[in-house]
Parts: sequence; C-alpha cells; structure tokens
Amino acid sequence: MQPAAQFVPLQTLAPKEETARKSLLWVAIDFPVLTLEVLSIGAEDYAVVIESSKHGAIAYQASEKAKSKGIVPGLGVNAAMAICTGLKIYPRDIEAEHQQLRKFHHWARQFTPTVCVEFPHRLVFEVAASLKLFGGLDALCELLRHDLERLGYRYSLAVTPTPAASSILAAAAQEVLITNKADLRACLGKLPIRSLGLMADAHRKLRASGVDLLYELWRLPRHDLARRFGPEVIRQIDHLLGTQPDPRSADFIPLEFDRRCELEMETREAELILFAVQSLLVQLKNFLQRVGAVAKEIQVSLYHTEQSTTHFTVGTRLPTPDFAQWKRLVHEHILGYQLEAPVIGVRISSRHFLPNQTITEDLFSTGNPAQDWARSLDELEARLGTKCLWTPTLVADHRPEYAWRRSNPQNAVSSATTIRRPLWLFPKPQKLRYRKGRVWHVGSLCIIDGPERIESGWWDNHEYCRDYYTATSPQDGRLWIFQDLKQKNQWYLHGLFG
Amino acid sequence: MKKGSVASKHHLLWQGNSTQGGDAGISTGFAELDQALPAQGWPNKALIEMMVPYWGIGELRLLLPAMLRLNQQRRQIVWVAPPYLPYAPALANAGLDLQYVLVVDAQSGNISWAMERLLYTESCGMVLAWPVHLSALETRRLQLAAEAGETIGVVLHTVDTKWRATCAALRLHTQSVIGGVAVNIIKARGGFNRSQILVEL
Repeated sequence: MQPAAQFVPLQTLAPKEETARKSLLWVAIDFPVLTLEVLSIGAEDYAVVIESSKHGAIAYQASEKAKSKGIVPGLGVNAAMAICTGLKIYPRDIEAEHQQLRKFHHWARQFTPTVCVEFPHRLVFEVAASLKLFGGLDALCELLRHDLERLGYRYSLAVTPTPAASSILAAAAQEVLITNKADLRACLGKLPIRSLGLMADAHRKLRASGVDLLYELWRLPRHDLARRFGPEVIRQIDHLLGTQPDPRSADFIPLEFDRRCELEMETREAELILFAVQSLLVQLKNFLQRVGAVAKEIQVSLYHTEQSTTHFTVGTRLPTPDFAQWKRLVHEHILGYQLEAPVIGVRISSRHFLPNQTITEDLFSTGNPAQDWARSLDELEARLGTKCLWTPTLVADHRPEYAWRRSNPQNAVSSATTIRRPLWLFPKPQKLRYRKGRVWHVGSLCIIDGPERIESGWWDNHEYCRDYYTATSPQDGRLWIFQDLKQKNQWYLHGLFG
Repeated sequence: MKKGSVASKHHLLWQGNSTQGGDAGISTGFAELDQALPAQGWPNKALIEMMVPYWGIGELRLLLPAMLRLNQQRRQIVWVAPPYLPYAPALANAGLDLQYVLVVDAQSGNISWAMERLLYTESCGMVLAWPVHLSALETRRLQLAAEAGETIGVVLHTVDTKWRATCAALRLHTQSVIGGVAVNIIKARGGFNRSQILVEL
C-alpha cells in the first residue's frame, strides 16, 4: 500500500531570509594637491603644473598663491605667465603621482584588504570588517588621521556606507562620518551635480533644466530622469544612495619594497655594513607586518665609493616575518664576498612576497626538523652560492656520463637497477698506463668482472663504443675501467667502487 | 651458559669498556666491525675520522649500510666537497632514496664551516666531508656540533695528510686488501680495543 504523502510545511522550504545584511563602511581619502606635493611645490610658491593638450601646454593645477592671482586649470601657459610674473612652471609628473598613490595603497592595506585606487588622487577602502580590530570607527579614523598627518600630505577623509558617496564627499572636501544609509540624502544634497562626474551631455541637460545641486535631483521623478537624461544618471544616484549594489574589486597593486640607507663613512667591515642592513631590515619587517606578507627573496645592493655596485639576491626556503633570519642570510652573503671597494650605501628591495601563513610552533617539540633543514640550506646557499647545493639524480641514458644530472632534491628520482655501477665517477675518464706489459693504476690490475659493452649515442655526436670491466689490484680497491674500442689497446679508468 | 647466570645478564654488568654511558651506535652492517667498536657500531652523535691511502679503496662501501639505514629514516646524507662525482645510478642501486642525498660544493675554506652547520641540523643523518686541512680546534667544533645535532660526521682524508691530534670520537685507518678492506682502529672513545679487522666488501 502506498504510504500517505508527507506534507512538508512550506516555510521550511522557503529560503531563509538573511536576518541582517551586513552593512559596509567605505572610507575615501582624497589628496587634492597631490600633483603639487609630489613636485615639492610649497604653499608659498607661485607655481603651476602644466600638462600637454591638443591646444598646447595648459595649466593643470596651480598653487594657492598662483590661484589667488587668477590662474585656473585649463589656462594656456603664455596667458598664465602674462598674469603672474615670476611664475614657476613644472611639467606634471604622473609617474610620481601614481608611485605615491601606490604607497598610500600599501599603507591602507594594513587596515583592510579591500583597497581601491581612484586615479588620479583618491583612495577608497572598506573597513566594516576591521572595526573590531581597531577598536571602533572613531578609533580607526583617529588612527588614519594620525598616520596621514605624519605623512604630511593634504587630505580630506569621508566615511559613508557607499563607496560612491564617500568618494564624492571626500573630493568635495566634505569631511563627514555617516554610518546609516538613511542619512546619505541629506548629506549629499548640498553637493553640486558636477561632482557626479556625468557625461558632458547629461550634465549640460541637467544644468539647462535648472538642476544645480543634488537635492534638486532627489525631487525629480525617477522614471522621467532616466528618460530625459539617460540611465547613467539613475545608476549614479542608486550607487550614491546604496539602493543598487556598487561592487568594487580591490586593486592588487603588486607589493614592492625598496629602501636605501647611506653609511656615515665608507667601510669594508662587514659588521658596520650589517648595521645599515639591519636598519633596512627592520623597515622591511614593519612593511611586511602592515601588508600581512612574507618575503621570499630580497635583493641587496652595496654601493661602493667608486662607480661599481655589488648586487646579490638572498632567497629563503622558509619565508617568515622573522627578520633575524634575513639578517643571518645577508651576513653570510657579505662574508662570502671579497669587497673590491669600501661601501658607502646599502639598498634593499623586494618584489617577491607570499601571504603570511604563520607557522605555529608545537608547544612541546623543540623545533621542526623540516624547518631546521630549510634554514640550514638557506644559510649554506647564502654563503656558497645557489648552484653549490645539488642532488644527483638519474637520467635514462645508457652512457655513464649521461646517466645522471644535478637536480633539486624534490625532483630526484631513484629507481634501482641491477647493473653494477661505481659509487665514484670520474668527470673525465683517465688514461691508464701500461707497465711491464700490464694495465697499471696504483698496482697491476686484474679483471674480475666484465665485459659490459656500451655502444650508444650515434644521434648526438657523443658516440661511445666501450667495453667496461671491473678490475682490482691489492693496492687499489675495485676500479671501473673500460677499453675504448675505437682506439687500439687504450684503457681508461672511469670510476671507483669506493 | 646457564640461564639466569651472571654472565647472561652481561648488559647489566659494568664491564669497564663503556666510558660514555653506553650510547648504542648505529650498526655498520659488518658483524666483525660492530663487535670491535665500543658502541657496537658507528658511534651516534660523533665525528668519525677515516684515513685512506687512496680514494675509493672501499671506504664508501664501508659506510654504505649505515647510510642506507639513516636514509630509510628519511635523514639526509650530505656529501661536502667530494673528490669525484657521487654517481647517481650506483647510489640508487644501493637502495638510497636520492631525495635525501645532497651534495655541497664548497671551497676549501668553507668545508669545515658547511660541515659544522649541517651537523647541527637534526634532519641530517650523516655528513661526509673531504677537507684538505682540518685543525685540532676545527675537529673539536665538529665533534661538538655532531653531539648537539645528534648526527654522524665523517671526515675522510688520505694518510699523507699531516694531521696532529684530533678530537674525533673514532679514528680509523683503512687499507685495501684483496676482497675487502683492513680497518685499523687507532682511537675509539669508550674502549681500548686496538685490533685490525678485515672487512669483506
């Protein structure tokens, strides 16, 4: 008999609604005069930064003093010079601006992994998940401000639940702190529609219809807005107010560390050089701590009094944030070098980083043998050179010279065969002499095993035609010798059975 | 021997030939040699010094069974500055896992340093080195490193090398004979047996 159908209550089938969507918090930091600051233009200078356009060189940004004289962005260089005599003119250094933004990016990475750069001079990052760590929003903002004051760049900082709103508020130098989406409208309302960054056409149309400030935009019916000014406007508003998601992906600017340090006086002493290295390594440690990474290898350059520079790379098998380890490795390297000239400066740079997966030490064991091994190999490599550590491994070739190669320990293959081979191989076979009509090494040799004919290699011009024997004498132990069949009566010693 | 007699419990008796507290060594793989050595094998945590008239008379085959055992425990066998190429096919035929074999090319000035560093590392089972010159002080350092790292260090050199006293726990002199090697124990910490042992290889 068919069992009675089971009725499952509908509620349990329906997907559970998320109880509370976690609200995000976006910090935007705008650096309004970054262009001037990277060129070291002070507030007291009459200076203008120019960029080239299709109308020739035009002003891009002017210093406060120059602005007061009436120099505005877009003004031609000649006109600017006519307005203000003694005006200093600088070409814009975009590369330096980007470099500085990347540094800000690295700095912000210590607060959150989600950091976006908005070129040319803004940084937006999400901090909701970091609040607990930094002791709440107020404490975090204070920390941000403290760091920014120390960096010495002019900035404005805004915090709101949407990235777009934070961004335009910071750009408009409105330093606000909003945690509730409901408060966004009131706060954004006073901004001019220019700050939306709309297409010229939509912007012009809005202005023509008498809309100047954002709150005037709030009042207009949504449907008509889209029809008259294009969907772009609606999307912008939705992003601003957080009614539509505005996904931002974190920029992954490759991490880069590059610092240099000059010595008080030129020296050849490793200890003094190491002192400078150490100060740089402390900076590296701080940098790595901030970005939550570990370095895989570092480049060290020693600047000499003469033109030359000594470069070397120090790598590790065991990346840890522990800087004592780097110090030890660099020390080994420096000891291994014969310094040609005194050193006057040191530079440490690195581009090879890995995420920091802290290795937790066992409470009861004294150390991890695998880590100890990796550490010893690092030190050996630092002192002796990378090519000095190798593992012999097998190659499928019948010719003795080609039946092995140097490799990494991980790639070593060991498959045993039953052919007798000597433990020592001579890199080059040695000619054996004749004495009293007998083949001689230390003593007179007698054959105890063989022959084994090896005739191979016609394809790569290393063709061998040899008969191998095991020979011995009272003085010699066991030897691996061969007779070259291409030569008459010529015997060679190729290995020792050890 | 009667069961329960004093002699059958000889391991409980102090027989005057174990001065170091009877730290059992690792078997050499040759019964005669094991018997002659105070540690019943190669001394663990120690430096062994081996003198040969010429390279390759059988000193490696003498060490091979011990190497194999350490290698099976996944401990590294390191060759520092060997005089010739340690030949991979022969090592593999002997049963060594080549993943745990490492060759270190070092200049003469760095050999003792590299060996000491390796001896301190516990993952190393045996460190073999072929130094050109080694001072008494250096052998002392190596011996201490081997004790601290619980590893076996083997220093090989030819007989003509002018070496004075060393701190190695075991000092052997090997000679080639037909069908094997003759091992003379010159010095063995923990025993005073000075016999010559013939080992068939």
